Amino acid sequence: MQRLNLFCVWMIALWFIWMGGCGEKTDPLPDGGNNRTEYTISKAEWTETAVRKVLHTFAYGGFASDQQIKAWSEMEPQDAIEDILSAKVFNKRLSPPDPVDNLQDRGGTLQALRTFWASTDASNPTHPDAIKNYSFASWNVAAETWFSAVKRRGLNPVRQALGFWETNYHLCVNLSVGVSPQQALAYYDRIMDGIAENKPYQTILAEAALSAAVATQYNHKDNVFKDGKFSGNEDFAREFHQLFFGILGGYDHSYHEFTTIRNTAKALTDMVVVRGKEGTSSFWDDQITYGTKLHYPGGLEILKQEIGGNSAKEKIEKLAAVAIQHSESLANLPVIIVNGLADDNLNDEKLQIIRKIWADLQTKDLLAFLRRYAISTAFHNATRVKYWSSINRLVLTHNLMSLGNKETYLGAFDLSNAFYNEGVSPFRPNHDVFGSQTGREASLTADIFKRAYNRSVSGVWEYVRISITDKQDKNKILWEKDWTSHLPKNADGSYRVKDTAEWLWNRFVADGLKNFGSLERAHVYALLASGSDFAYWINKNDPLKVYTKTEIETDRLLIDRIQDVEKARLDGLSSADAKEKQTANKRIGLAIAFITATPYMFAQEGK
Amino acid sequence: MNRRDFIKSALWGAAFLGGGLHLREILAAPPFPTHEKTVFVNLLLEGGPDFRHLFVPPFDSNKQSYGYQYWSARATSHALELKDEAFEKRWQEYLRVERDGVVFGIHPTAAWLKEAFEAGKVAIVNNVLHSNTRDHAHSLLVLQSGDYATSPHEVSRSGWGGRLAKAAQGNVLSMTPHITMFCNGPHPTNALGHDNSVVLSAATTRPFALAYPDRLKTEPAYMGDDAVMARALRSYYEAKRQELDANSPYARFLTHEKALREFGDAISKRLDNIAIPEPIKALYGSDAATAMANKRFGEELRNLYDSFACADLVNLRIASLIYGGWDSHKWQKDSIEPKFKDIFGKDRGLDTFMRELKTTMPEAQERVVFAISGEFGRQLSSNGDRGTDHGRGNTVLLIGEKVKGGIYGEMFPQSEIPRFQQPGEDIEGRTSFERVFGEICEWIQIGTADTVFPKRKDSAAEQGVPFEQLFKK
Repeated sequence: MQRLNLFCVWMIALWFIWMGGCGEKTDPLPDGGNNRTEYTISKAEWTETAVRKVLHTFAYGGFASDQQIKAWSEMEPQDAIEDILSAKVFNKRLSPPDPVDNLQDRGGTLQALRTFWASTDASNPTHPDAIKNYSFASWNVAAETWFSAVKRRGLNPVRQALGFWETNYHLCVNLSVGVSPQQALAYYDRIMDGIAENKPYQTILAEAALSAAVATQYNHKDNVFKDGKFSGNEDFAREFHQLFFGILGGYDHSYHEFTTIRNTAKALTDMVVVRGKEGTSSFWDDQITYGTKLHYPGGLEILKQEIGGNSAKEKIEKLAAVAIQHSESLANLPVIIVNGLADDNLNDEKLQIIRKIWADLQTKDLLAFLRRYAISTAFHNATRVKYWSSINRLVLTHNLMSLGNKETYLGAFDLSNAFYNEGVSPFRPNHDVFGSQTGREASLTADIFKRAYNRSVSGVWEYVRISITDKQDKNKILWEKDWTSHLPKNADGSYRVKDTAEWLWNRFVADGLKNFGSLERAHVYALLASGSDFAYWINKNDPLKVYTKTEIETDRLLIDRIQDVEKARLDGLSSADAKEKQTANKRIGLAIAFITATPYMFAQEGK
Repeated sequence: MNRRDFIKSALWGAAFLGGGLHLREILAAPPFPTHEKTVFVNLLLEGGPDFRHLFVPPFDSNKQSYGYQYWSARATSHALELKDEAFEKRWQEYLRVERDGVVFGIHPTAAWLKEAFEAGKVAIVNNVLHSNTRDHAHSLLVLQSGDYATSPHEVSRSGWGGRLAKAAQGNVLSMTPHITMFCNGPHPTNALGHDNSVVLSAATTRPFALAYPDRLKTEPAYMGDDAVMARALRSYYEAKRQELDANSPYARFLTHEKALREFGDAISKRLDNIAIPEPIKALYGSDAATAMANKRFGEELRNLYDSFACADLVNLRIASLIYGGWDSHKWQKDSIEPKFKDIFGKDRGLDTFMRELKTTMPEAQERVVFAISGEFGRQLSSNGDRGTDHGRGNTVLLIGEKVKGGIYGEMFPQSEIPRFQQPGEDIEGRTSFERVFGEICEWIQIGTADTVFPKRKDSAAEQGVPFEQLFKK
């Protein structure tokens, strides 16, 4: 048995060596010279905290090691951001592969991943009972596929964050109004492939507008021009301009209403989507054809320009090229993107920067824009506030809690149920085409706060879960939590309360300890050191006493206790005694439950 | 003598008389509060409801008449063949109503609404301008802020519900999954900001309170993981409130915690003794005959009922509800008729709610008024997809015992007749919403309308319409 363990250790070590080498050979460090603008922050401002803020905003925290985060912070910001913000299916430095599932061999698109997780392939680690969730017969297949993609090491979390924003907010489609999961997954993959390939943004928006998913969502698949008359609805004709490009009609309301929108509706004619069939159930297929027979013949005046073309495809592609350069789009589209992803508190100074970065891009490439923005003074700005939606916060929490894919396959932290509890669901947005719950909405609603808070109290068992056993054989341990693989060690090789507490705070809150004050420290230290709350730890006969910051900072007894405990060793973490080890890991879970219920886990500041 | 006084005096009487059984009976009475204050409930129909599908003109075979033009222009959204007989038949399906010489039909799924209208408890206010654009997001901001000048990017402004709550020295309770702009209270210094100290989220009333293990109440040193966390977080938040700057972006979460902490225990204690009425429970249940298509709306009505049961604790003056999904560009008939039934049908939403409120809290039922509106209306004619596209003007409904029922504004404007065949034409907005909503403000608290709607006096009003008579004095 001992020999077998040794063999396993060697195999894992070899695998890490191989992965490191592999990463260097196939994934060279990038040159991000093009990302530099007049607004790029200085090298001194590009700190580990700055990197973490980027990761929290655009990658649900990411899966990069502390060493990698440090390495990025030591690079020039324009080079590091090139490496961090990509939309390819894999990004090894941001999300190292995990031997549990070797997802780097699975294609990496949602469609390919769904096929893998739905398969009976021996290498599929999905629990047999859960495989059915990935069948198209399951009502929640699209959401389950996304949940699984967003939480797995080996897949690029930036791709999932941007993909979710595009398909659940900006270019939203909704399974609750008839869009099929087949369409939704293909739509997601196509948009993200386009972004990964650095296609011009207008091309991606045109492809989305011409997709079967959007034609089904708005039903312009039934729009026709027949016998000299348009028949259909003008729903998407309006939203193409408003939601996709940010053109609200302020340039000329009457013209926009009676010429642009009405003619765009005519441009969206003869787009045929057919029903597909799988087993006994039928669904709207992802394939779409652009006919000419029932399409409006000839040119149309839209946005005060002549838009020609013989089919919807030809016209919409031309229209998208015009729309992206429209003055309203130039002003609004970058704001829609930044407001959606990163800033709920835009002011004139930041708006000017954002618009200038967008305007200066000769080709409107979303990734190029986001890279420039993510290292700009607009992002790393003291006035920037991003309130986390339930989606952001829950995925962040989940991904920073999990230490490997094995526990995610075993469902150690149930993301799907957490979403349901907070009233959000992927691909079934709360506001239909206007998108899912926003961070602003979440932050204003006490009920959502309550649900998150309660998760750390009545739902604390999920945070302190330190092992999962086989359902049939309770003595067979399938997985155990072991934070030592990630926690920082003291110079003497020990784990200390203060170091661990600060590491956890930075991991989840990413503020460079700005808000990790004496009050927060007192509570986290007590939980880590004793597994009890601060008041109980100080005096178990008065556990309901409230200790204020002032008391903690001025009362000699409290100061001494805290100073003692912050140096205390967490020897249980590396103990050979299984029970001690479990207790120590459980206390880390308690500390995380506490940190994630503080106000600082509900929003992010720019600095 | 009000209910509370009655119970108090009965308790004293019972105590003096030593009537044990009598005392038990009195103590078992549900602890509903007295209701002396008026309450306004705003029901937002997000998406732009087609009230011209709910209320229709009688079919008229005269091709120049409104009754013919309407039915021929709206044939596809009613899923009708273009035949007079089909129009006539469809008209006959509607519930015929006549008031002050105006004949119209109410959709057959909305039988309760017809009864309420005929009982004089429904005001149908027509030709209200909702927004000058036909853009959902912008129009929602305009409607909820109560200001036509709100720009598409002013998402942090106060809402007219929040301003009214502040002016009436009460609170606004939101039954919806997230707080909408309507609820936002006015910011003391920033006209484009808000201060939500008057807002309470009642998206889930059961349980309302933050989690706190029962065992801690009797065993404060209990060391279960949930107990440790409950003590740690309660202590942390209480201490944190003393140090965090009110302008911090994180301050709102401390406000939430405080509100849930302060109100939570009292509300939970109250609601522990009040069962949810079975008919209300059935609205969001899965197998009842009266279950609604939109379960979430049923839950919102449950939350509203609970809010009335705790009205004294939460100082309820304004409530906010949402029923979404009214953007009926396609298959309008299938899409919105079940929604009419949910809200206005017999034994459905409002019928059940009002009946149960009357049974348990009759003073409250007498003092509540609903306003029902969307961010805009639909176009006069249906589109080629069996639906209707966006239009600017629409109808607003006011419902309640204190409403002076009737038709306010021309129900079917004759000026629309030549416009039915023109693409894109919509209902002319003759009356600003400030005129209508301002009357609600005055009814809630005299002297508040001009605070909530400062531009009201100069705003448009349909000629000859007595808006000041919308409420019984």
